[in-house]
Amino acid sequence: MTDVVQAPIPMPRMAWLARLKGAPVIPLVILGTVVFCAVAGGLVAPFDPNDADLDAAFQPPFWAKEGSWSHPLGTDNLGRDILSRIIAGCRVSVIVSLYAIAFSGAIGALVGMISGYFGGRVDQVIMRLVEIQMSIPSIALALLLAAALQPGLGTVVVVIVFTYWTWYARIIRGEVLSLKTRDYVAFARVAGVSTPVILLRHLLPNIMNTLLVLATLQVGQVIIFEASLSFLGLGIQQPDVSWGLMLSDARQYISNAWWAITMPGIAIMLTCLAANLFGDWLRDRLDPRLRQM
Amino acid sequence: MLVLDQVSKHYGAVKAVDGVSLTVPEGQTLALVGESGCGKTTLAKLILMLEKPTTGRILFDGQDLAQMSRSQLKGYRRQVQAVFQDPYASLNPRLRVASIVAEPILAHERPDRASLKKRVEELLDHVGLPASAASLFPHEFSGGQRQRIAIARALALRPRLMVLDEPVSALDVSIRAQVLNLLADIQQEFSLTYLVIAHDLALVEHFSTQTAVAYLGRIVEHGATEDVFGAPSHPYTRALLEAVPQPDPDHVLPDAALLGEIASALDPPSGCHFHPRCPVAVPICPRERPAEVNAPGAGHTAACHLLAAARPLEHAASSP
Repeated sequence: MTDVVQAPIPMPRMAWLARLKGAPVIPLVILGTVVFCAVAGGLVAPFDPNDADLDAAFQPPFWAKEGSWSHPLGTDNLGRDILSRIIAGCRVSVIVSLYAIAFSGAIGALVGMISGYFGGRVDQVIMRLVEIQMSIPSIALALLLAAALQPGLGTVVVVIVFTYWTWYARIIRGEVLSLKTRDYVAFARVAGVSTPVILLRHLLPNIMNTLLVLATLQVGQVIIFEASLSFLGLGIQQPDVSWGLMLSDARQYISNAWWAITMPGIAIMLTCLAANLFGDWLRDRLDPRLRQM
Repeated sequence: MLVLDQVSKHYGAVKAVDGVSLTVPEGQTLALVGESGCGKTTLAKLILMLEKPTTGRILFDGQDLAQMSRSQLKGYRRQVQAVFQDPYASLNPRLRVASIVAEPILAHERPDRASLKKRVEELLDHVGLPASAASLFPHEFSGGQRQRIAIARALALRPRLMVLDEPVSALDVSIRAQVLNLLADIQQEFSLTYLVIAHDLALVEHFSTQTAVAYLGRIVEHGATEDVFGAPSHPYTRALLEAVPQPDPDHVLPDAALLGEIASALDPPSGCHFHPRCPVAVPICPRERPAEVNAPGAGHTAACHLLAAARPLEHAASSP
């Protein structure tokens, strides 16, 4: 060998924070606040979320004529502080999102990878199962599961995982269909690398971006799903606090206490909007091909 | 060492490989040439066991690949490695060079960290890359350097046979020679057998000891490279050689050396696949598939009716 090739100078590893450059600030702040409230809500909330004070029932928010700063967003029918309850509700939203997304993402990714990589009959069977699953209305499934199990946080997670794993499975399958024809996968097979190792080393790292984008885009849907289930009484139960439960409690009093139902509604809307905007940004940043999702 | 016996691979109606018999002799470099769509890449996939032949047998040291046990297959995987055309697609962008080169080793052995590191560094040194390359990612290298990494990876298990699928055609012309020299050096050093898939005849002429010419899934001519290039016996081979551009401004390319385009593999012409484009076709050509007959030179065969008519059928040189 006459020519010894010079290796290029290694680039400094990109700091994780630098990758957030250009991220939408307001959605990030909203999401950050929600997560902070979920972790440390008890420290910032002015009242205990379940502290009833009937003397202070139906107080409007501070900007209304009879409103006061002691209950900035007003109180509900039992005189509970709405701001404190919204802060407490963050915890359920975050916990449900984390569990539901982790499980549906993991199950969906695994099934999708197996389906896409092995193809043939395995793929056929799995994809038909996915289609059957997708044809079942999720609320009907939720009713069934809530009747079979006990309503509560666990059931909410199970229902959401049941509904959403198919979404991951289909997209990851498509991704793997194209990845498995790459030459480095072919080479790994030629070299005798075992199938689990190929899936873990060559496919999983290459679908991580897609998974991350899908997970972020799912946050908004999970929050709404949890609120719907709780609103229907199939989800979170008293004395736990959830935004959907707050809507359900306040529904009867909508004519004389609009704020009791509007405030948690706004919390849901802002969080979902923030999650979706952030997810959109992440998708464009990492994987523009997913734009039709 | 590697023998293909009447190997076919059909994808539905498409006969990508159609009854190919070929022997890859130990220590030699066999080049498989042909236009795109002639089945040469499919043949590579069959040998690498990425696809299964529809009919026919592939023998390695006399053992049929289809009959091999699990452990024999592992052994085959160790001894046969590959370098692919596009070094941008053949290296996983998310793995460091050290992991890429170590991958075949880890698939078969459990070496300790220190010895693995040493082996990776030795392999990188063999292909002319510094040890510091190990900690980098593929995107930090040029195409030629990436192909060196791919070669180091293929070399990791000390294989006996390497399948080189267009090893330099994706590279800049200026670095092709370097990579070819590297391949020639390691062939000497590790006494490797090469099966080269290529379309560049100039490269084949200098790099290979044997040449097989493929047309629409069949081998039309096969022999020692100097015989095939010196006395091309099939009209397709002659046309290919005439079409090679010469570095001579006064050289005039013959008009219409090849008539028309390569036919569709979906609906190949009857008889000899080449007859619609052949300048010397005779009435029998569309009717019958020509047998392989001897051509000038030892072990040199071609599948052409004209040749069969010109010289008596000594024997069909299909069985190795």
